[in-house]
Amino acid sequence: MSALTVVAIRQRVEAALVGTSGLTRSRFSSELFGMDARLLMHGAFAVGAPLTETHPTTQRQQRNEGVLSNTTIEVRLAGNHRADAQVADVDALLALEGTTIKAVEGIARTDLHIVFASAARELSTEFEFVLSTISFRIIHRLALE
Amino acid sequence: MSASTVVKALYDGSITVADGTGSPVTLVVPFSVGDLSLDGLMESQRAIQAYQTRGSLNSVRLAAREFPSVSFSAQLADISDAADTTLIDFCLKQGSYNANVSTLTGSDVYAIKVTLKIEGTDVGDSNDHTIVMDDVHVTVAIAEGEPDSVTISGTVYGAVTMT
Repeated sequence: MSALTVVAIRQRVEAALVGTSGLTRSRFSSELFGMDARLLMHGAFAVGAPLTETHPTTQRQQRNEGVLSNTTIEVRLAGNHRADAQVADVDALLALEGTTIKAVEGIARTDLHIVFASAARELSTEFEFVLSTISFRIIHRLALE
Repeated sequence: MSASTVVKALYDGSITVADGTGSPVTLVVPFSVGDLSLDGLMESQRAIQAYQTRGSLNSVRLAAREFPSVSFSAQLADISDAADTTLIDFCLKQGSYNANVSTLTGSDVYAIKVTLKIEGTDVGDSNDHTIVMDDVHVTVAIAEGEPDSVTISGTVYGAVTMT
């Protein structure tokens, strides 16, 4: 298992989703994604890496080996939430979630493991969109040199 | 030369195993987790027998030889291969290490040398430190988990040399 940088992992996930039908990469970072509903569209997504921490097992952290780590990858996803089709729209978002999870789990496991962690949903501030945050735990060796 | 005042930690260590070939075959243990344990060191390396009669201690004498034990573990990245080098193959004298030679002469027991090197010069010591365990017969345990691990346990039949 070669050591990976966090940016390489984030980009690998994003690349898999860019080629997935029904999804469109947002211009916004995952941190800002969804803050302004006027800039969202159905199927828009952003991939972020909010946290990397050492794996909770004893290890030497040799620079040439890297350090076994967990990186949280979050895929933020937006779906329409029309006043007259709320349940159908939520279902559509859930279906998109499923597509997204399958796409991420289908990524090549070269030098990493991908473990689904959670999917959380919330409405945008003015209820025009349903926002989903899908979290994956990526187990990998973090490059130290 | 005064003793080092820098306390050592697992981050300073590395483990190397070697066989008994003239120019030894060696392997720096990959992904060792830093839990090497060496137990049972004694001045004489012999058990102590206390001879008593009716509650009185008469003599304390050296008795049978006792052997230190060593164990360490590593995260499991590979298992066995005819060409690639793995810790398991080294310890079991199989795969790419099937031609290894025991460090024990005149014996049919396969034993290896285990060396723990503790970095010293990087932290200002005059030299690195080593604990060399000769003629170690090892057993291998493999466990699934996160991560999978391999644990090597051994009995040290040779000298333990420290620097």
